[in-house]
Amino acid sequence: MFSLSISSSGSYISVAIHEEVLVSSSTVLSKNGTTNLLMQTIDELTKKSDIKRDQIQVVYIDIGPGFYTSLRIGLAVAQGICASLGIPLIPVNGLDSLAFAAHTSHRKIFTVIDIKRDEFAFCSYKPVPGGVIRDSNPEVLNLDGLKDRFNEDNQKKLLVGNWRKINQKILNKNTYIKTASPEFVTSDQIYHLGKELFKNGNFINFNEIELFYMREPDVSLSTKNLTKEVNFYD
Amino acid sequence: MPSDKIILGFETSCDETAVAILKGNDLLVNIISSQVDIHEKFGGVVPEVASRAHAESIRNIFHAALNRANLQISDIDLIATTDGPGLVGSLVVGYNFAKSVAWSIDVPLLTVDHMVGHLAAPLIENTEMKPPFISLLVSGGHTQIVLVEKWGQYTLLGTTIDDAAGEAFDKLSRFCGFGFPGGPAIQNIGKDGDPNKVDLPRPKTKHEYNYSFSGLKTAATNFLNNLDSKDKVTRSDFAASYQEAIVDSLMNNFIKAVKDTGVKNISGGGGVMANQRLREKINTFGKENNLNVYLPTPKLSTDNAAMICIAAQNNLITNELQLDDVRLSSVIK
Ligand SMILES: [Zn+2]
Repeated sequence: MFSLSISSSGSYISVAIHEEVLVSSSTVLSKNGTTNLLMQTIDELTKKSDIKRDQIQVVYIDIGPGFYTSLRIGLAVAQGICASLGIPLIPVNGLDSLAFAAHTSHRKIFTVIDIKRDEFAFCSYKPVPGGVIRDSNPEVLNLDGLKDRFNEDNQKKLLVGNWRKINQKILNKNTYIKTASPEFVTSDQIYHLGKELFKNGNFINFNEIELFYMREPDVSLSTKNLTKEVNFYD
Repeated sequence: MPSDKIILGFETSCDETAVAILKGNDLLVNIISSQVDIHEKFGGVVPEVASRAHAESIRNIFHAALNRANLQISDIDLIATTDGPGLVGSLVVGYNFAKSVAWSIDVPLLTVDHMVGHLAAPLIENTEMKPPFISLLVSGGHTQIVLVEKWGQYTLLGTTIDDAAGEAFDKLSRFCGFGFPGGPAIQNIGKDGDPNKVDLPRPKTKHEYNYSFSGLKTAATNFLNNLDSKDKVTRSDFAASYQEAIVDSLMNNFIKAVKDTGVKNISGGGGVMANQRLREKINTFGKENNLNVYLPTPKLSTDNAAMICIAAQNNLITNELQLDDVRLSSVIK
């Protein structure tokens, strides 16, 4: 059974094909945007792996947090493939997949994902045999917020994700934190966590899948302040 | 291009998530899921809100389209999708969904320029329409007079130098608290009003076919700011007068362009083309001057995916392309 895993939430487009073990994968920097790169990568990878499109039996998709437009491109592609082939789509949270990839650590795990505008998605995890459990609710933090979390207690922590985007001064001062890989979400991580969710039947129907934006949209238009009192005759 | 080929089209360039299926001359389904309810409370289309709504609904609408047409995905011969212009965050949703469907079922994908879609829309109901023709494309995002000498050869005769016609409706409607979108709201409120009650300007520009609506907007808001109830101007009178000013402005340049070029076929498109007063004036002008008028019905004037299907079909027919000609490199570019 072949699976296709996709992550397009950050600066990389990452696609993998697994058949229990990794068949092939590709991770490319999406400098000029994701629009055409994702389908191109998927097409190249299936050709290279010599598998036919209808041999794909499940798709795992990174639903964020991350960059909005790239996330939507990833979801649109995944939904299109699953709708056409009639196969399940398994949404995987990027923060969880990072923590899951680091679960062999004995330390508490902190995950950070850059979501632009100097803000980060953050979550903390406890390693347990065979996996991780969330130790906090995912939240959006700026640098000060991150600093507070990092200094909360004297427990040893492993920090994974986009920590290179964090001002290094904050990290250098903190001796309880060890930075580690993975530094970004890959399709391989999405596969490994997604596979567990799929196996346990722990996933939702395709039309309930929502991207994990973590922020309300910017709404600069508003009717109220633009409406004037006009002295109409009626 | 055999006429019975089935085309599945997508259009998500602004705030409508649209999917249509065209089989030869038959429009099997034309689903337009409008986000008006969502954007209404903001008084305008919020790009990030629109993108999110597209991403959430596109797959449901795709399934609904196949169901209503009673087709299987394997019945589709060609996929067509808008690739711009429009709101980038919205466009990429329909474009990538379309592309991945085409890839999955291994059929060709044709991308269609949104404006070419509007130009081709009248073909759905008027297969006999042929270039040369002049089209007035008016919506919240564009205001253009386009000369189509032949398919594939488009000359932009005039465009707006500031607001689009739809924006001119939206902004005043917001100012008066008439509602969103402004065009239908103003049309509705002004239904029984006197279009000559308020004297508003019909702005001109240096370039004779270009439009400008900011002068009209300023004149209208100045008028409203100084309005006294003694002037006895009702909401209805004002709405009718404002609509008349926009429609007149649109008609003045359009008529000039048609007369100057001597073209005998006229057409239109875009959300503002759903305006009854504008349609009336175009039809009258056509009749009085012995022109063939090809206005798409309001549902085919506003953004829709049927126009994307027909534009793709028309592209294949006029360029004498077979499906295999577009198969290669169509999905992956
Ligand atoms: Zn349009």
